[in-house]
Amino acid sequence: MNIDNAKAQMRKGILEYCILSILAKKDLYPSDIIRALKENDLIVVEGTLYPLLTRQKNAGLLHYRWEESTQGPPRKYYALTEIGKSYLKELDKSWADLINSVKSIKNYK
Amino acid sequence: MKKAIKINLSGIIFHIDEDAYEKLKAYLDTISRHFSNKQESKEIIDDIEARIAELFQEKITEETQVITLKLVNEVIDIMGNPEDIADTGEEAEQQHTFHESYSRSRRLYRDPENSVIGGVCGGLAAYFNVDPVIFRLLFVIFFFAGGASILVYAILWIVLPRADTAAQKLEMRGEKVNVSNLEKKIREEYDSVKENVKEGYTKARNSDTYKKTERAASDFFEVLGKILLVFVKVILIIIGTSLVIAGIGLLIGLIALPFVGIHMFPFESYNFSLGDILIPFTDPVSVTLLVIAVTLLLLIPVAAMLYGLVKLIFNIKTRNRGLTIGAVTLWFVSLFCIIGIVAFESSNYSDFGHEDYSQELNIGSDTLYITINESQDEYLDEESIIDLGNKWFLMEDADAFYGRITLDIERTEDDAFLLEVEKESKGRSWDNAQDNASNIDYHYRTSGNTLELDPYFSVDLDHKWRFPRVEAVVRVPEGKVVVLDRGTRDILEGVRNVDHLSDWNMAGKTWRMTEDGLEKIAN
Repeated sequence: MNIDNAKAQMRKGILEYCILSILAKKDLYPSDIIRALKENDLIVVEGTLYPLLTRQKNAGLLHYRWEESTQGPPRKYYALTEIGKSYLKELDKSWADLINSVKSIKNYK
Repeated sequence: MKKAIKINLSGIIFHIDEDAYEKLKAYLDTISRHFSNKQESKEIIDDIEARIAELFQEKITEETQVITLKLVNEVIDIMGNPEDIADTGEEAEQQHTFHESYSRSRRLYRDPENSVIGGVCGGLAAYFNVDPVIFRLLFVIFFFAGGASILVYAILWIVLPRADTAAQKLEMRGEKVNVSNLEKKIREEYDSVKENVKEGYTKARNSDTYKKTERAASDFFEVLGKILLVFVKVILIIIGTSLVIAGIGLLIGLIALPFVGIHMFPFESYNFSLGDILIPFTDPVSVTLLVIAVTLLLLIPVAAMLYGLVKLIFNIKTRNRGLTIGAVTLWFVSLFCIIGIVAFESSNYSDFGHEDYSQELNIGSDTLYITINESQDEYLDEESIIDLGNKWFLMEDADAFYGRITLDIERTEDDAFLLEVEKESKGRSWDNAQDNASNIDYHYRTSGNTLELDPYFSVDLDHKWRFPRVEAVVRVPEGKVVVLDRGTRDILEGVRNVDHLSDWNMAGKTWRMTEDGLEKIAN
């Protein structure tokens, strides 16, 4: 068992949740999302984000709109859909549960 | 210096080095291959391209306008390797199990996609991971070397299964039979089938009867057609390969011709090359140029035909415009070169000059014996390598070229025998022609009442051959007698005689001069 691999698997599991959480506050385009994730050490390579965004969009959790950019091509701004919002609520709840569970496991005598 | 390519990445134009472009394209292709859903794959790639464009824009400065391989590598490091990107997908876990359960194995199949006859060579090539042409050549060579390869081919054809399914094709090429590879293969096949179906559908709709007849006859004709096709292909390959082998022989012959001696006269062992023939007439530079030009003029079409034939037989599809243009240009250059040299050289023969002299033969007798110097004849018989029309000789090691003289016998009003010698030659001007004529070396001897003529004149090697001629005329007073030796038969030309004998038959006889020409008085 490789420790880096284990860490990566952990991060991967919560990456979807983190993306939805970032978008809950503000509509963003992928480079902004990447910056946020990178600053918090949640992703190492950027490429992994795009398949996730596409899947979430196809699952109806996200939608996007095109916005003109002053520098460069038009940007895809992602936002949560109604389904996405309720989905996030569910995840928030289960994340809180998970933290509690882990805590209580750690303290289990 | 590097070639740069213009690319459109997400609507922005970038200049990118060729190697960097290849790398980037391979990277994007690999990513897109990892996603099963085409729609989804396109979207992801679009997003990734947009991000790469953004990264490029950040990194391009005033000094570095062009995207280099280094920059592409940096960006790939940022984006992550294709496996990681694809791993975020849902089927990641499934894929892993497949990766482990199938090992890399390679099996021998016949390759229906890469076949000339039965796909045996294609399959062998896939198995050994080499170009199928190599196996085809081997089979053809062994066929000509004894024919055993036909049997081997037939056995392999029967024994080897055809790679029909995607899994078989992957096994044939030794690719891992895992989900992503299989999927890729199936998608490729699905796409091509879809194309075929689409095409077939439109065709069928356009012609209903066509469809019906085809359906009814298809089973029978398909089998018959296949057998015929294979038969025709085998014959064509055998014919084609024979032509190629013959062509290669011709090619080697052509290349060798100017440099190596050939047997012009198979019954006499005279060896000489094309260059040797030309040396007496022109300078070595012109000869070399001419030989090269003539060789190219003949070589290029033969090589082109061979090339085309090989391409046809082995179904090679390459176009090399540079090569074609180069070959055509070279051919025309050769042609103009030949025309130029010939025009230049022929100017050396444009004028005509001669040098005459005459000598009275005071022999103190009424009978003149005309003989020839036979040693010269023997010498030329033995030593000459090229005999142009039995009149001009080129010698292998001698220091001169030789030419045969002509001898005429005419009447003179004078009382004494007279010998006239006229030397003639061509040249590029009158002066030059005169000069050439005076350079002709010719000898004769008189002793008592005998005139001994050299049957040949010579021109030394320092001078070129400008069609030199020497004509000797013996003038005989009426009533006097000449005895023509047997040896003169080769040089006598157009002698008037009342007996109407040919020049050849006049030799060896005794003649008296009359008013109307020579008259035979004794054999």
